[in-house]
Amino acid sequence: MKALASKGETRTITLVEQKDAELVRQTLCGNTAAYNGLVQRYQRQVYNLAYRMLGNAEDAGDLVQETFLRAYGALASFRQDASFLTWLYKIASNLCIDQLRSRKAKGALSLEVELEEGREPAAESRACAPEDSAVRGAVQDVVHRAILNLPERYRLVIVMRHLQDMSVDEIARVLDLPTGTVKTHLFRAREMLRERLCPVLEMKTDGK
Amino acid sequence: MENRFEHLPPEENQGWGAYATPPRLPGQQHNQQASGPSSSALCARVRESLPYLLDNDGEISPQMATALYGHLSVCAGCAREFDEMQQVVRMVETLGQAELPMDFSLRIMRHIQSGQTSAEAAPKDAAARPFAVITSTSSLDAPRADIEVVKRQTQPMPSQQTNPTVSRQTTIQGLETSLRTEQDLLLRTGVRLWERLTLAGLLSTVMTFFLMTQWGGQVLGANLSGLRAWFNEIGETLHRVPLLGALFAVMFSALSQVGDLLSETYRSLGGMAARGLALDIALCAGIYYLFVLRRQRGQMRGI
Repeated sequence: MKALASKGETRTITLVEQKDAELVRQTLCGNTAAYNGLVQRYQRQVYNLAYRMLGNAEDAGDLVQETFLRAYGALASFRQDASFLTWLYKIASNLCIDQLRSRKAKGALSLEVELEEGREPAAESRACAPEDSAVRGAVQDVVHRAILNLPERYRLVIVMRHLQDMSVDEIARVLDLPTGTVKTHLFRAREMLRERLCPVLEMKTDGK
Repeated sequence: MENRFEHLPPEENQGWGAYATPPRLPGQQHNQQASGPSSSALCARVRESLPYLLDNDGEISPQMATALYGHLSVCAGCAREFDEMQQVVRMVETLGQAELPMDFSLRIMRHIQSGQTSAEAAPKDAAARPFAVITSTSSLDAPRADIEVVKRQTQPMPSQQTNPTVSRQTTIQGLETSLRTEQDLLLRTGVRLWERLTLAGLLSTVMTFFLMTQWGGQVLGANLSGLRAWFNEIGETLHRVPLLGALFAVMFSALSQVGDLLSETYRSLGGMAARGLALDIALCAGIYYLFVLRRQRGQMRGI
């Protein structure tokens, strides 16, 4: 069963990659509209990575735009040995880290302050009952902040693994890191989150 | 990473569920097994393995997993830690996906079309080099923010990375104007020009049919009177609720008046007027598209 499932998965990925390759080829041939297909297919994933990395919707939107512009400009250098999404993630994660570093260098407002001042949060799709959503929203807010307080590399790995649902191997390819290092980052990040989310965890355990 | 647990023969891991014969955990020496490690030392080793157990990605053998779960069933401290780890992962996973605005891809495509790049990415000599050249050392070396980005190309072919002269550039632009105009329209609206015109024509025909035939007029009139009755009914119902009801009642009665008026207008309109209306719509659509095309051509020349 497992083998079958994994086989099926491989086939699906190949199909998607084939479609992507075709769209890339068409774009390179001058059909700009084909690129629109790629943007529509992947904008959500890139946006979510950016949103969880940068912490606000406005910066995330700008970063997605910049990612796709750069990808468009460098499309000729894209080879088919990685999936288009992996390549996009690579551009986006580099841009995220650059932006976070420039924030630090500029001595800009700390993230905490930005959050306090209530920069526009992204609209989230929450499929739950309205009475749950207030409590849920509060917990999600705490988790969101806890992730934003992680060091950049740990944040990237946590977001990619548990929010973007990427495998450790994929993350290693995107970040150009050995698999072992990605795992170590992941474990440390989870440990840090566990420490920071202790009050919420205790609350939940008591609730049970 | 190599599998740290592969060297364990399966039989050594059997029957450890009751915590009697613990298996070797990562870092544990062979000779420790005989003497039996203290529970705190064992717990420390179990805790080292818990992240692997949580990921369950083949790093831990099934036998080792069984052994670890065996320990978790008898050791409250380790069980609590594992539970917290699971909860953290669940909490992160339930953060949900943030949603993008509906027209976000259009925004990106507009930037690509209009040749805008971010201010910090565009160097000063960009105007002299209309083609984007992003240097990349390997296939997976995606462009970083600090990599030189020359102004985005003015023709949508990233594969060409040569520097054309200004006159050649003008010729290429001239040749591509019509193509790009069509693409622009498609990107902005998702509908091609001929598709739009066909749609406008079809709509005009349907409208003409409705307004000119007696049957169409009747259907339209009947629908409008039905609508009016419905509005009145809602107004009546809501009128019973103070303030809010009154507000809605006023709104709905106004709407029903509009319905009345429309119904009357349609009835009084003759075939001529109906035909005129349809023609007007078609004419307006035509003028609009001509105007848009012209303006876009002008913009293209202005690049």
